[in-house]
Amino acid sequence: MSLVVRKYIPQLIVSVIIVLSIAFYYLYINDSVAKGLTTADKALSDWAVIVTSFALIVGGVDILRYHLTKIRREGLRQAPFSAVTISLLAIMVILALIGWYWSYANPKAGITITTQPQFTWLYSNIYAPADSAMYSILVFYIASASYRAFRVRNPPALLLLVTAVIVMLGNTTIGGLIWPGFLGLRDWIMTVPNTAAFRPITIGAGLGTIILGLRLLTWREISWMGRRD
Amino acid sequence: MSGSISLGKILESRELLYTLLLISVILPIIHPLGIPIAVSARTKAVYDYIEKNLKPGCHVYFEIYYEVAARGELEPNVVALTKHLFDKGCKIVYGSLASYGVVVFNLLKSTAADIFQGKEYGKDYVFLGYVAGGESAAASLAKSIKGTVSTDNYGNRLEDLPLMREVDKATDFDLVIIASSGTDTFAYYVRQWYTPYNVPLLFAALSIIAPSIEPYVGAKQAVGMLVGQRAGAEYEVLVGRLGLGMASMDAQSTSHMLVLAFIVIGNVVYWSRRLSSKKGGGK
Amino acid sequence: MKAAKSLAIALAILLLIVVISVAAWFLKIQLYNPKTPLSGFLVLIGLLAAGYYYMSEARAGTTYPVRKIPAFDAIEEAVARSVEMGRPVHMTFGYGSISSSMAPQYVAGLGVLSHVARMCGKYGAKLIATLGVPEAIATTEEIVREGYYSAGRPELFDPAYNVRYFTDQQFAYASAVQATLIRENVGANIVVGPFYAESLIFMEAGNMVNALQIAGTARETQVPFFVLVADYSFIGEEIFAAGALASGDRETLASIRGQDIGKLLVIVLTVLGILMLLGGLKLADYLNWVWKVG
Repeated sequence: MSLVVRKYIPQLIVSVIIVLSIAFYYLYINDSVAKGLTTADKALSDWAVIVTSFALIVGGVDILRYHLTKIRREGLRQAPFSAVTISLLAIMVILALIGWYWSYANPKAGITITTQPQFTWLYSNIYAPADSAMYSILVFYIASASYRAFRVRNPPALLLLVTAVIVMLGNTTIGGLIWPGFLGLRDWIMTVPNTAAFRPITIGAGLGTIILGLRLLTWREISWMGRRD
Repeated sequence: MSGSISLGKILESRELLYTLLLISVILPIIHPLGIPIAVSARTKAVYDYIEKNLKPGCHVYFEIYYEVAARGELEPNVVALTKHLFDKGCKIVYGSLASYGVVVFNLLKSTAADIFQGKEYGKDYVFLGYVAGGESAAASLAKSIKGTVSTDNYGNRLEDLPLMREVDKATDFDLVIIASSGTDTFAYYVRQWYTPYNVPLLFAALSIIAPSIEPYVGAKQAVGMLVGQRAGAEYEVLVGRLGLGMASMDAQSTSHMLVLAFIVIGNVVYWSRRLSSKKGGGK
Repeated sequence: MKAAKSLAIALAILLLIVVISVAAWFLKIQLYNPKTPLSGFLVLIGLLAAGYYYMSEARAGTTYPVRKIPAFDAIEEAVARSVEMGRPVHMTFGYGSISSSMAPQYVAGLGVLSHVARMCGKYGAKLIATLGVPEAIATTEEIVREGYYSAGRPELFDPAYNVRYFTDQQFAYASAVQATLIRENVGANIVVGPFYAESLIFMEAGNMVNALQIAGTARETQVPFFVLVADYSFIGEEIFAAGALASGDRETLASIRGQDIGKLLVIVLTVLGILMLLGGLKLADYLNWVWKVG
């Protein structure tokens, strides 16, 4: 029984979904069948959204478990940080629930989960700046990574460096002051050689996905299920 | 030689580079240098396309698919395009396949309030809000917007909005603009809007994403592409409303130049070390 | 015997598709979507058939050589090195929703995780698997548990330490992973799956603690960062092959040959397309045919 639940049922679901996805995309027969297929396809992705949403609850519980264990093990040293995480998590959930309540209790007020005033305030004044700040950190990392990576160790590295310099100058207004041609050259590098290098990776990844699909379909790819026996 | 090695160590410290970089980004934003910007052929082509093909009263679908973090790069593009479209007398239906699209659209409306001023909600523009379901949702919207969602982001019934009585399916639109920080979104629209319905698509993408969606533009599946912050700044110049894009261009220029300088210094230090160790080996 | 039987089943399925299609054509039934080019469908079926053929050949006893992937071989070295230094091993496979076109890359990441987990069990390394995919928490725990249990070291498995879900929000996840890398002072940083802008954040954080870094993604925009900064990298489709390599199973490995057939086909079509362009013809015009009856 356990083997059926742990191994065969998940594999069967995966196989059926793969076949259905292909059928939804290619089959037609007549207008009403095609419409039915589209509806089924939309339903399938709606299910995925629903499953994902429930998984977020599991995620919330997992975060709580992690932090409570950490507080228990490390005591006061960890407690303030975990307290911030846990309380913010709770506050966002409560505010969203209030918004949800109002969207039903008084729809005319126009308050929903995402437009609940305090929720929006926290989102735009705490989450958004923090999120942007993390993204901005990339500026520093790109700088230090390129500083290390663009060392002329051999002729191909020199080629890489020259290309990088042209693209960087093309991206700036100062580059245009030095030589107006940088802009056109940057566009050429990005649209011709760069795209040519990207396409095989995309094609290869697509082929890899198809063969991964075959292994899933024939029940040979089992690593994603965890236990093997 | 020890002098150059210790200098190399100082130059190699992350802290020095990070501090200088921070200064080079912040200073030009506080004190703009006002370096003139040339408009690239790609951006001009997009501008010309809209000038030539869109007539007053035309309809545009605008996909807003980027998170707050990508605002700096994409919002200048979206604002400038919106201004251009409104100036041309177009009507716009905004929608988002990402949940955070709702937040960035509200931020966009507050930062570009002057553009939306005088435009009536429901008649000149509509915001559908978040439409869940990824690619399937994109396919469903192309078939029928009203068949996919019944209300807009603010809970109004779509039938009650005058603009939504004029448009419903992909072919009702004269142009579809996708502003996205992800790669997949562009593919969704190519597969679900362009391939079956042949609707003209226009892309606004992050610089880093641009190369991976370049094949669509090359294959003429999109009429053009605005790439990153620079394109935003260029478009601001074209539509005559300088904003966030132009303000950040100086910072982009100075920071790029600083990184270039460090790459040069890094190579000088690297080669001086390599040559000195070779000499040492010879002894 | 078993190989012949499964090959017969596959052939029967193919034959069934052909018979239904031909019958539909003669009965004037619009079987396939008139808006979707059918050439793609044929290529898909062809590649699946080719992959399956090689798999059944392998089952019958044929061995196909597979090129070595240095990044895959480096995993064992990275784990052993971490144990020597007394530092933990970190592995992550991305964030976001598993119900997207990125799903195959998550599956590939899980395949690599199962290999890493078994290596950690073998050498007695502490593994920290971080993730931003809530749907995969249970699977990740299972994989890590299996890694330690199969090596006979159940005492090393501690779910609250080994498996850490942070959030499904991109940069919150990135900052949490970055902090984990630095605070835990990891000895190896293995990053395989679909990655976005956070890829470089992970690489630089790993670099700060001098971890041995192995990274891979099939997202072409992030490949350059991994290639430049990581010590070893899986480029593009190699991450899908990693799962097959990890299984060590001859039959699973043989499926990769199907991928090569696909590549050959792409090369032929590209060359043909260029030649036709010289003659003023576009290959795409000849490949866009759709099923239209009446």
